[in-house]
Amino acid sequence: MEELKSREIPTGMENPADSFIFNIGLADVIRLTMFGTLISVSRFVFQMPIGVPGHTSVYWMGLLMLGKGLIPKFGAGTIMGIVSGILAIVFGLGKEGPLMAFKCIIPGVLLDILAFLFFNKLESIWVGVIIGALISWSKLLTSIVLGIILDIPMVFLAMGFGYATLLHVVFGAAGGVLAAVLIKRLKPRLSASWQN
Amino acid sequence: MINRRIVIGILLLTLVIGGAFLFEKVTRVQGSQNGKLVPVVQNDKTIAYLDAGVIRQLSCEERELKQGQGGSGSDNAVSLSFALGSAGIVDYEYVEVTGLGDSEEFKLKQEEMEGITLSSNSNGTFSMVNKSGGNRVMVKEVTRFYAAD
Amino acid sequence: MMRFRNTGQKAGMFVLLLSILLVVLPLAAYGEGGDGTGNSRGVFKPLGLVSATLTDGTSIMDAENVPLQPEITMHFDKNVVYLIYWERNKRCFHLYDEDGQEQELKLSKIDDTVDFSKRQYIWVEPAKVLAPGTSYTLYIAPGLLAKNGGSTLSMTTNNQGVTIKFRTAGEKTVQIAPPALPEGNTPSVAAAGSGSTVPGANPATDNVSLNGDSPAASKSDTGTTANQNETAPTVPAAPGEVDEAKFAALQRGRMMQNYVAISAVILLAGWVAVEVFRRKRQIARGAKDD
Repeated sequence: MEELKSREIPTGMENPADSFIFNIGLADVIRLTMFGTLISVSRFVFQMPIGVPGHTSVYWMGLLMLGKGLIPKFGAGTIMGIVSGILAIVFGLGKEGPLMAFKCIIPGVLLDILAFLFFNKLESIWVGVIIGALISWSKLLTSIVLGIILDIPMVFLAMGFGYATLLHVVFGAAGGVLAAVLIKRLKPRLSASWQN
Repeated sequence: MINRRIVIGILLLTLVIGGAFLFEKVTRVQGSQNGKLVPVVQNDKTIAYLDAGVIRQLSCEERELKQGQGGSGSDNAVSLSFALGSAGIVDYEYVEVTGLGDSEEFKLKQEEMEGITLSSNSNGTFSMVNKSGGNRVMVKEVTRFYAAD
Repeated sequence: MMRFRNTGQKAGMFVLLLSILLVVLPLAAYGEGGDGTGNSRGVFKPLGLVSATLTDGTSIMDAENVPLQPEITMHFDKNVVYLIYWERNKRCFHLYDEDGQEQELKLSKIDDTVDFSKRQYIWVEPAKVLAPGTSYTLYIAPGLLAKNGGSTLSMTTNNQGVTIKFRTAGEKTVQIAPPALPEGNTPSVAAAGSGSTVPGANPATDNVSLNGDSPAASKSDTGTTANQNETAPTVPAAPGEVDEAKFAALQRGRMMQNYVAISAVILLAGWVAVEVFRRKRQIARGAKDD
């Protein structure tokens, strides 16, 4: 019982630096910031001219899920989303302008919710597939909503929606699988040093 | 517990993909019926879809391209020939423009297109207007373009 | 403990508010400008030509024995058939014969609103049968624009556009007396990539093709595209300068992109080093405790 009680108390509550944002420690917030940066950087570096919609989801969602899997705290996805979103605005990634941030934040928030629903078992391949695919699709939906806001004709948003959905789901799932494999391998090695 | 959620998740994914294709199809069919999505047909094959938003953007594009030429483009109106060219129509003898309901059907040859524009309406449809004929509305809500060789 | 929880929540709220401000303020500034498309403000992936093939799948680049009415499939790595930019993009394609005379082209596409999978293809066909045994130059201007409104062919061609040379099958039947032109002022100059991208003989047309968005209007009255009703647009004032400015802005964006990537790599390397150091220290501390 005593053990259970001590488990309920978030780790590191003794130090303000250990409950920096959303009760996540400063060290973890810095790590999440790094993951957020990595997401934006990956979009710079991996400019693969394969011209298939949603292919960025492989590393975008993969990194998002990897960060969340290694720091399994509620709000981790949101922090990564906010960081990558702000960086995307600053460096002018994408054609949506500042609204682009929402394309990064929404999948992050959804990741937090879905990870909670799946008991943070992101190292499971199937959970990786589902969460990766869904957050990737949420990115597509956000793009469409932004398209409506930016007055892009509906015909361009509606036509090809099925195809785009299919590709986003497939690439998101692929990213999720990669993340699951990495989490499974990295988590036991990092758990000792990343706890505090 | 987790297995049940995984099954639900996979079902949800299937639903998302199926729903997206269904949504696209429904939008296409319904839009074609109510004039909000206008097919451009050539050789009995749909080659593009147009809507009021496209017409608005094409009018800006036409204005931009015709800058310095004293182009005709006015607000939210694009010349019919420019719109058809943008849709990808190459060679044709005449174009048949059909309107919603009982509106008249127009057959226009290439040389008759001078001064004819498409103008977006507030309800998401667009109309065909004869600018050289005193802004006379020829088709109030266009539903189909048919290009015949 | 309560105090610490509140501190965490306060910090969380503060960061959230800061993020919202950071997102909303530029948004307001952006809205003020009234431009919703991003265009030159954003960093866009470059647009490139993947392949140019004949119907049998062979490459047209430097090809010999090309049929007299070839249908060339141009495959790009982005959506180049976007309806809004189609008229603009059509003007980027030019075909010149060995005398620098522009030939009329017929361009076709499958619109992305009908078949999304064909959005990277443009089919190019000469409007008239080509002369046998003649060299031709197909030139695609650097202004070719992708659907995102920011990626142009100039990004992958160093603002030069793409020049494809090929020779038709058969033997030359009609010998046209060569015009009195100085040597080297032929389409091959452009192919050699010698600064001037224009496969033309007339120096006056150089500016036109460098602009990339306008057809060489002075060369041919027939126009270069399949659009019969469209008259060739006039060349805007100092098109070369405008394009150069655009290209310079683009280069600046790419340089910025490189800086960001390098800084991020340094940052990440630092992070890894810190983590390794931390771990080593922990292990050392653990060994000491034992």
